[in-house]
Amino acid sequence: MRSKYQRHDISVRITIYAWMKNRAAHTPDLLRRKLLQLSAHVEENARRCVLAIRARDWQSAQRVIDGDDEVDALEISIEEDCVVLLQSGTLDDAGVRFVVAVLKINADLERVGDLAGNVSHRVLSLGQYDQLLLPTELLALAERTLSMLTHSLDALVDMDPVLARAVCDRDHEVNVLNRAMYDLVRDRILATPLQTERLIHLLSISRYLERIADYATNIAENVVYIAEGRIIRHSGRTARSTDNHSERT
Amino acid sequence: MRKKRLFWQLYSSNFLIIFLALFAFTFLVSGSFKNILLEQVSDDLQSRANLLYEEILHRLVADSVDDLDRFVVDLGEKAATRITVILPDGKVIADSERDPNSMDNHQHRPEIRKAMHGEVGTSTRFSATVQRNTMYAAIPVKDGDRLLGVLRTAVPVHQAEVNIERLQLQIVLGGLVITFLAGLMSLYISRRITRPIEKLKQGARHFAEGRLDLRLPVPDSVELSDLAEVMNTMAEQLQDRISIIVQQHSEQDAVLSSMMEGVLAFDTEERLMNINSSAARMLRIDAEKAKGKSIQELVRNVGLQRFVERALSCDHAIEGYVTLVGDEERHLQAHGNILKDGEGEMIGVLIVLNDITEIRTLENVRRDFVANVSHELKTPITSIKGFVETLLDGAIHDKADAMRFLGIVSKQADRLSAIIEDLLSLSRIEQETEREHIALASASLRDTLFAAIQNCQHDADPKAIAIQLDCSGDLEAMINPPLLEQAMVNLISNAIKYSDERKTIQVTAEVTSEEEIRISVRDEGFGIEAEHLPRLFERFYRIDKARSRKMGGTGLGLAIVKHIAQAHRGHVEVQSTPGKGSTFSLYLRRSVPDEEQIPTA
Repeated sequence: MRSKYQRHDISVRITIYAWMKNRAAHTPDLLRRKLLQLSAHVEENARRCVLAIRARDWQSAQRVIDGDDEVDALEISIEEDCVVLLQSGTLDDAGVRFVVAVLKINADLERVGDLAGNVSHRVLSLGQYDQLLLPTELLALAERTLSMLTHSLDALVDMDPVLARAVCDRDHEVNVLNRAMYDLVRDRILATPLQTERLIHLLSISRYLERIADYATNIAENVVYIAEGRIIRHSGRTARSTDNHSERT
Repeated sequence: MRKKRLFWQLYSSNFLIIFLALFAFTFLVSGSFKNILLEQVSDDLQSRANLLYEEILHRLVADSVDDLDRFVVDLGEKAATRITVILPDGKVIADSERDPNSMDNHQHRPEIRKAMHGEVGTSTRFSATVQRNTMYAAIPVKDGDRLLGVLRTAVPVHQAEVNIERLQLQIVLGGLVITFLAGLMSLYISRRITRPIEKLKQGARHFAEGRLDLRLPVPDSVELSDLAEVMNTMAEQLQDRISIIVQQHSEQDAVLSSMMEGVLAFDTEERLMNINSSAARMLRIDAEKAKGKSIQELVRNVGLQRFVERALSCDHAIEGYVTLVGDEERHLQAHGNILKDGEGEMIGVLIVLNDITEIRTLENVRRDFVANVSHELKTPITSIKGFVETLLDGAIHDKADAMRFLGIVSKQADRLSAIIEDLLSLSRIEQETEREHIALASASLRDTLFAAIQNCQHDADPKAIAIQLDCSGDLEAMINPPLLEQAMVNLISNAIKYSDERKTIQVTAEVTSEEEIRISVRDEGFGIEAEHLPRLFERFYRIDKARSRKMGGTGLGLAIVKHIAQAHRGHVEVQSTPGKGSTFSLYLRRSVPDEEQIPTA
């Protein structure tokens, strides 16, 4: 069974990388389109992993894990393009701000891709407990996270600061659900210690999803940064981000 | 240079021409009038002199100077003419106005000099004597060839000048009036010339604005009417061509939008040029806003992005599969081909998308079916074979074991036969539905439902399950009673199987609309999770394989129900809440119109 999780061999990775190289983005617009391509990848992976959770569909989970290499290769390629663009000295203020934000969004997207992979691994581990029902909190959490990610990427496509701010404001809901999952899992472990392993998988999934939502929020913040030139993180959301740190520890 | 209006050009030049003509006319006419008047005066003077000639000659010959002077004064007063008589040496000897002795020598006056030479002399000049412009006419007075003197007559020309001035004034005033009237006429004519041009201009502007249905009025003049007709023809042809283009365009649009396939066109920079409604629906794109956006912005799907890229880099048609991950996966078959313009230059790619999710699902169903049938048949046969071999190996000699094994073999053979029976009836219903062989007749529902319940009663009794029937006796529908009974038996026995002891099953038949009757079977059993509901009526679809087989199901019961419903031109539905129970509903037609085709399963 383990062999199925094997990553692409090195030649495939080199091919993908070379292909990316050919499509080097020499203008902000091309860079943006490349970033959108990465976002498409990541969103697809996130959707697949939620599909995998909901339908306990290990094929979807496997595809997420397999697809992560392309996400990584694309991320590296975008980062290199950003450096080239910054060095070129052809950018105005807004251009530099854009490239800097792209660098951050790029890293965030890559992390979302990784987390989708992590969720998928957990779903595969859950496979053995197939017949059991998932808690509605987890399904709701997955839906919310996915919708936050989708909306933040929509905001990225349209450079829409209004939509982006709406995403930032929803981070709280996901944190609450994650907290509820924590309580639920703790209670169930106490009630049915035999299910501990399965419940810990569920808790992990919940935490990964919550972090995907965090990254979705980061992306939305950077969209606001590109569109308005204002850094909105740590402003007015301090209370929430502290409670979110306490949950992660 | 600022452009002038044709009207003003016409009008001002007309006006100038009229003005100049009148001016010249006035000048010439008044000049010649003056000449004519002065000539008249001079003729008059000469004729007066000629009248006096004899008298003066007579007196000169007589050399009676005093008499001459008296005569001259007297006549001069009467004729209002100044009369002067001058001797050849220039001395004035008689004058009607003044004393001749006080006057100068007149020898050098131009008229006198002429007269001295024997001609008639005239002259007009200012007279110091009478202090006025005066015209003089002088004739020689001769006795035979001897010049005796000169007779001069003179009148002031003042009156003539006044007359001339008055005349000139009249001419100028008349000229002004005529100029004014001519100006008005010229205005009118200019208007008449320019108005059709103005209308043509407006018409042409309407054409330019695209209102090609308007027609220009045809003016009277040949040139303009030709122009108007040519423009009208042009507008007509343009309208025809535009309407052809519009029609072709809307035909294309109609073709594109009525296509089931999604069609997208991208330019060489991967920006969307065109999209039809199917594609917009498949990809959940707002077609209005989508034009000009890049594929990366439009669709967050790597497969499709790559496909467009590949299509752009290939010089031949390509084919591929794209999976859209939404709430559920959708499978698209994609065809890509290069778009070329009139010169064969590549302008982009055309992508045609075909939603093959249904086909994929059907393929899966068929594959599952074959696998399931084999599996379902194999299980009892393996069991039968195993026990028969055991018996052959010697177990047959142990009577107790042999009996037990044979019992199992018999049970498995029953199961096998049940599966095959179900499969056969399923295919029979299917075939007969297709060939329209199933006879439907109006019959009482209550009897059929009651029979079905009776059939199931022996299953329900051990679990103490109550089956209630709610159906009025006069309710009739177009049914095939044996088939409907089979469907109801399947539904009720399912309800019994999946209910705990001492629950109630409610069978209800009711009229839901003018055409439809609903028969529902409601249980208080375990219920079914939502994700299983869409596939519940598929053959061999089982929620829990182990449990279903243990209960002795063939996995075909609900499939048979579905096909029976279709044979009745109705359909089935299921609602379920896990833990609370399920309701299976069978919808039947109350009456069937003859001309209607039976839908094929």
